[in-house]
Amino acid sequence: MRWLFWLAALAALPLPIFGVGSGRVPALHHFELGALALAFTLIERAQGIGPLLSALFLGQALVFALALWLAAGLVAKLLAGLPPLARTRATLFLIVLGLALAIAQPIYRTPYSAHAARSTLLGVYR
Amino acid sequence: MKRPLPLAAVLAAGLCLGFARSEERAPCAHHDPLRQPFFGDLHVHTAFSFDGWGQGTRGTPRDAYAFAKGDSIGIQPYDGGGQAQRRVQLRRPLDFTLVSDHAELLGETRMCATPGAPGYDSFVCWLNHRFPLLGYVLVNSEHSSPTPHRFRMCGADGERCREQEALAWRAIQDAAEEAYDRSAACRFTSFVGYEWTGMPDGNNLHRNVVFRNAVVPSRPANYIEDTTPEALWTRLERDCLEAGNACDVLAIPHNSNVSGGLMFQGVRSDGEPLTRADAVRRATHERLLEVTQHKGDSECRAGGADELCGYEKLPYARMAEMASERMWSPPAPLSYAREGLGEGLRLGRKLGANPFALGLIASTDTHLATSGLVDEDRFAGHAAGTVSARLEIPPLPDRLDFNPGGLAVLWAEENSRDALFEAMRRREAYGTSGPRMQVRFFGGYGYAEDLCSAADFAAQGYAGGVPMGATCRPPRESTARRPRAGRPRSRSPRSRTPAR
Repeated sequence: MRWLFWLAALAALPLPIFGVGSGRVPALHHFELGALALAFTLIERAQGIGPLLSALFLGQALVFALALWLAAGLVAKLLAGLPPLARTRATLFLIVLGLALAIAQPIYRTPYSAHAARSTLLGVYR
Repeated sequence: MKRPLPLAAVLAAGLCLGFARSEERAPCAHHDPLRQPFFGDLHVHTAFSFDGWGQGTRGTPRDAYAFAKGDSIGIQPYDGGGQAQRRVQLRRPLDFTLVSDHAELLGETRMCATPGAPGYDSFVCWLNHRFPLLGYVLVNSEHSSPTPHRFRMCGADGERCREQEALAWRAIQDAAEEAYDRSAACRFTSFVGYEWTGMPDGNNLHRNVVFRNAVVPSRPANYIEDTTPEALWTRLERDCLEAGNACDVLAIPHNSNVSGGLMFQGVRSDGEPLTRADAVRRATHERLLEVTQHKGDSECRAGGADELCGYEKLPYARMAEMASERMWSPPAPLSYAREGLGEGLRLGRKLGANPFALGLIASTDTHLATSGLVDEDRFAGHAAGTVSARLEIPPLPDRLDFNPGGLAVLWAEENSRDALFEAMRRREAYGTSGPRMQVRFFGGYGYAEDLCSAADFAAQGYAGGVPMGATCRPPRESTARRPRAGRPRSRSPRSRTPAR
């Protein structure tokens, strides 16, 4: 259960961007941006802001991933008292509800997007 | 491209016109030997500049000239169907404009913006298509280092990008030619040029390069290949001034306020002290300084005796410090024009030549192709790496420390390239923060007390002394007399703006 909560939160929970513009995107998107900045740095032998930018994005992604792992453990612990079937249903319900909300509503602020300043989950990964 | 005129014809025409004609064109109907003020913008970026394109600008050099002539244009954000969400138009057209797109990345920008162009599918272009802000920040920062280099998309020797750069450079020249009014009406003058964007370690040493006519080098100089101002001047000398044709060129520095104090140093880029030859060289190529534009005012330091110097000052010393308040440091010594002019006088006494004998102008530095859009209530933002309207119209058009910029004003006989270029070279110029007031000074030793109220103020001004921007030398027979300045005129009786 913890793994499921953690993966869903990594992919969908909007979290702030610190230090490199203001936005609210999932930790996975932080990782994506950091990985691309790192790739640019390596491929183009960048001397500019590339290394700093990749460190900032990847650092935030790492911190958020750890925090979300702890939070996912807490939620799993709260549900641990339920019978197995109810626990599975509650887990799936919470994850599906959260993902449905993220897909339906533009709850993300995406300054790095090519399309829109506010996006749904699908817009973030479009 | 028009053919240059033979040298004899140029000299003969110069005797009659007051300036040398270097191109074929109809004589201007409004020609006035006592000169008139023309208002324009000598610092305009379009979608051909990487930072403008990366922030969603789609206006081309052709659009920038059309806008300067009074047309309305659409600007970002654009909807899914490509319709601009904002339209802008000048209240009054300009007399002249220079589109000065960044020479660096001119080819790369064209590659990334043109489907099917070589390199369009490269990693750098893909990154800028998929994550424009990330791509913009990464790419732009690569050209702030002391040793900039081309990306892999350009090929091992950079040839692929140079080929695309040549196409963009050709398009810039064609747009300027289309916009130039060669008829006797002389309604509008376009200049061909670009910006050399040197920024070692985040210190702004940018120069706008403006050519006199349509005879220009086959390639613009850029900071990737020519990494110092001296290298830029060498390139301009080799490719233009010594090319044996009608090519003529000036460089106009700007934003000394964020140069980290490097704009007016008494040393060369290699650290060696300036020699007399260095001073003469700089004073030959750089006659004007842009003191006001979007990125603040560079005229004088705030907090001194002149309270008017508190106008539009940026609170940081270097362009690179713009990114975060935590990086800010106070503007360095020799960051402002008045300090540079003083340093120039000091060096002039020491070397026998003043390297910083500069006239002053203003311009916008728009990255929206909106030439001369200086109205406070219509400021649409700088659009180059600060507040972006690429995705949505921002609550404020730009950072609070930015402003709508200003206009360059040139006193010239007529609105033609040769006449305006000679005005730049004479430094018979000034800048405003937008209003089109007429300002005129003369300096001389024998002016009558009532000169300023005379109907022939300008004629007497020229006959008995020198105009603004010139060097006022004491007459040999009466060196003890103090010079007298004709006061500024709100409207010279012999000056007018040509009818449209």
